[in-house]
Amino acid sequence: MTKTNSTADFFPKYLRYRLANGKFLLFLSSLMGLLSFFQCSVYVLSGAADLKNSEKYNEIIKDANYVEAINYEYWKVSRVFAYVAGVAIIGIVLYTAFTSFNFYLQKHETDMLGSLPITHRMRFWGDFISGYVLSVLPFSVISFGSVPIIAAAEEYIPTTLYTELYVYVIVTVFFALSLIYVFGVFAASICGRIISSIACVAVLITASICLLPNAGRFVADNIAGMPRDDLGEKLNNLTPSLTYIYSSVNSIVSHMPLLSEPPHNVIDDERLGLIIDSTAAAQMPNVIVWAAEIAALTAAAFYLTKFRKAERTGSAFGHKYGYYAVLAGTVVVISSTVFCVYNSYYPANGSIVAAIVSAVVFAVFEISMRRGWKKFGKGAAVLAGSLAVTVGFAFLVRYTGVFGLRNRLPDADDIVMARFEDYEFTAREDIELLRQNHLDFLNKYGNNISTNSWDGTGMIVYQLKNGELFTRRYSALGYGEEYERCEETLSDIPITLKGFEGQFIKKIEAEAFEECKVALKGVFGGNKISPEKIREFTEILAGERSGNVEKGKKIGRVTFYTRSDKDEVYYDLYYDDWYYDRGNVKEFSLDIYDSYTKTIEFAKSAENIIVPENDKETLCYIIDKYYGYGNLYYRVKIRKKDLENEKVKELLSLVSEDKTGYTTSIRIDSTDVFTSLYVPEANEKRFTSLLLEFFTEKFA
Amino acid sequence: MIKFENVTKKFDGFAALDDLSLEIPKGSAYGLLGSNGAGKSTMLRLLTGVYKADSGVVSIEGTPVYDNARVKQRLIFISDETAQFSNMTLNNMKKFYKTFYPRFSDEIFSRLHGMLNLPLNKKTSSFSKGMKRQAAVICAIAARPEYLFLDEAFDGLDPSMRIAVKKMMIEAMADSEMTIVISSHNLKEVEEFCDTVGMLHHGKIIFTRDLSELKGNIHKIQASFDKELTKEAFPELDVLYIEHNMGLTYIIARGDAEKDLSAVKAKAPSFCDLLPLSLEEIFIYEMEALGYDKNQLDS
Repeated sequence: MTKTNSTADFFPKYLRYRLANGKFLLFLSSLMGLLSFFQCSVYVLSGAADLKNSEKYNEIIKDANYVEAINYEYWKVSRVFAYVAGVAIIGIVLYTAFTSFNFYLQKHETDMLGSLPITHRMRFWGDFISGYVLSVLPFSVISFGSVPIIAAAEEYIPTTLYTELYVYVIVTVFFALSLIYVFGVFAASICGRIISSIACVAVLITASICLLPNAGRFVADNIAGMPRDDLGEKLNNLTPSLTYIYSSVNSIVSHMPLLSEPPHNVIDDERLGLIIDSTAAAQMPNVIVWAAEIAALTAAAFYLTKFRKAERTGSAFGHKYGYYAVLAGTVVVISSTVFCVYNSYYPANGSIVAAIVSAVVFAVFEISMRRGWKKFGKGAAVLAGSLAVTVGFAFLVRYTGVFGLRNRLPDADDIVMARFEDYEFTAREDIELLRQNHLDFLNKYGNNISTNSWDGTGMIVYQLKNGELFTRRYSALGYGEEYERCEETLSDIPITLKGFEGQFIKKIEAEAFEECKVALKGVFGGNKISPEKIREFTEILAGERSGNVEKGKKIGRVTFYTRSDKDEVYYDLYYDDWYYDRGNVKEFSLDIYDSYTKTIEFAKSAENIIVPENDKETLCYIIDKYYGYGNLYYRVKIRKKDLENEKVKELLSLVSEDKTGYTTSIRIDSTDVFTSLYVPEANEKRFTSLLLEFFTEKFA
Repeated sequence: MIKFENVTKKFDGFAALDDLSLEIPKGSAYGLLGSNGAGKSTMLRLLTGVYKADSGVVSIEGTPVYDNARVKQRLIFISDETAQFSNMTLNNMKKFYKTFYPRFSDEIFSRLHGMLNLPLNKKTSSFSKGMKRQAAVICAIAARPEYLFLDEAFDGLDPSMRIAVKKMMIEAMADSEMTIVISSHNLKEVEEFCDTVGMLHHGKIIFTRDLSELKGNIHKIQASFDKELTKEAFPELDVLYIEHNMGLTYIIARGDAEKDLSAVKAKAPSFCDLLPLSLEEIFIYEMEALGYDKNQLDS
């Protein structure tokens, strides 16, 4: 009897063989993990919970140049290492995926591995797992494992928030690298050369960036026209943002989003919270999408390799029609992307650009594959067909609203509550009117609106009898008068409703506005008035609107732009730009008719009630410290509440507008005003000392 | 028993094997002959599960080979590509074969390695083509497969190495009843140890013959007659070919040599003799008898 092994033994044997053959890749991936060590140490140093009581902190206090001299320089060096590691690991992961499937790349490998006593299943999983273990795992384990090791060695305990961020970043990077690896595997399963695999990965990444969110958007806007809870919102959350892959890559590159900030800036818990929010890829819905994408691509690669003929080894594509499939995929992705840029509402322009870009890509494909003139016709036909399908679909979406689904609204009888932005209507009469206005708006401006549900400026929600919500968001497209008419019609949808007036006045009164701006078109625009005057103004307006007088001719529109005390304006020197937290901005608009004489009179007089721009109570202060020749600086944001701090008051008293003999300049900035103030030499010591004390309190 | 049942394999519409049926008995040494592009390598790749047949079945002892690990652990394929173990040392190759082939014998490996004295710890990428071939043969024989398939096995070997490798293979066959299928376009290379040969042409086996039977059964008689005699003049002979040259008549016939010689002598030639035939000549005459043109076969 011939001695044979159980076939189950072959898989671990093959896996061991593949792993043993990949020692160099293991070394490279581990090296990249080690390069990211420096960034990890920044993470630990920045994230220490009890920094104030540590010896490190005392050193910081003693050395006024702490940021520049120690941490800033270290951060700069670590950033370079992290970038190198991040970019290199992506290359390593892709290269590993391509070459793990070298069964399909070189004839001698095909002969050797094809005749081995292993099945396709064993070979695929052996190649897949060994490639993953050799590339993704060493980097992940070493780089992320180093954080707790450094923390333990330095006896630092990261805060809960830092730990949360750490977990998020691990999840993001892990899934991103896994997805990149699977992209490589999928490409290798249909391609026979490294160069065609690279092209295929480029298509896959572009497709993921462009098609997934837009497919989700299409589903949300159309298929989700079926009244299903807030399905659109859910789908938008599920589909990664346009930059999701790059965000994840950035996470790898920077090792974590901390890289975008010098370490001393991210000590602020509030800032950390924002960073955590920005790692959206690590949120569970996205993790599910990523996991599904990984599973789908892996399964596809498995079957594509199963039915791949060994004799095609060495060909650019592993399947007979592989070239045409990749070409068609590329054209669809490119032209869809172009249409996305043109928002699919300008298909004529989009078609021309899509055709030009696709033709260029096709030419590059044909030349690089050296296919020759004989096969040119077939390729051109595929190009034309793919382009026609995409263009046709864009026109379909544009001109038919996809079989009327765009205009579909629930029956009035099924609606128990209708909402436009913040206004809710439950009266039957109001619901019917809102629905009718909504429908009129769609019929009139259906071709001029974007239903992009994440940048919509007008949101309409119907709550149905079965408890589900039917949600729509719109914004006007185009420019000029047509655009303005569309915008106005959209925002006018609720104002003829009986329940609107009362809600509007209540909202105005309920908001604790500190600063408001009234713009009356045709009369004047864009001035700020005080909160007291706002209230007075709204009362006058409400009184005239509620009267049963003839409205007369529409002469303009008053718009309230509000900013509550939660808003914050600050200048970020790192990005060299202004930032304004517009999270609390609200906008209300009403039409003004020539019969509203009191309103018009008040609006005209508003020029005399403008809030002084230099009112310090409403300003945020940014203090920049410049010195030396290197333009090195650090900054402190002083929020309004900080102005009550005695030290801050003293700090500000030390500065002067007199430039004579100054050593340090500070800039006091508000939304519109930039004032340079200077620190006289005599005040320099105290100023620096106070600044450090202020730092101390902030860090504590 | 190796069996091809109506096997067809096409590459981009070109039939490398066309409805091929063949049986190779277990324990035999089968020489697969044919010109370049005849389909020899394709046959071996189908036999070893590298390729999948478009139609028909390739089986070993009744079990299809493709994607069948259990069958494939009983066979080894040494392809004509010599780069397959480039990244390995001979020691690594030994480990590799030992991993996948449970009958691997360290003793045989040491013995064969001792005969050829190849460096054990040097990467085979630095080996010459002949050394790579020797390394592959050593490992394959030491793995003691039941079926060994070699594609152009003697390519790149110098005459002394050819002899050494052939000797190793003959010993292996004697020791372990190994079935060997070896492809070549050179009949002389396979005749020393193959017991059966098959001629492949344009994707079809045009004939298969037992070599010893073939050699004993065909003979060449040289005679001189007063006039040129045709095939019909020798009705008692199974004449494959008759040729006249410079007054001599050459008769290639199948059958008992002595009987045929007596029959020719009965026609009263002025001179008559039995000449030895090389295997190559035998093949040519056999194929011509089947209606194939020698020049066509070379193409």
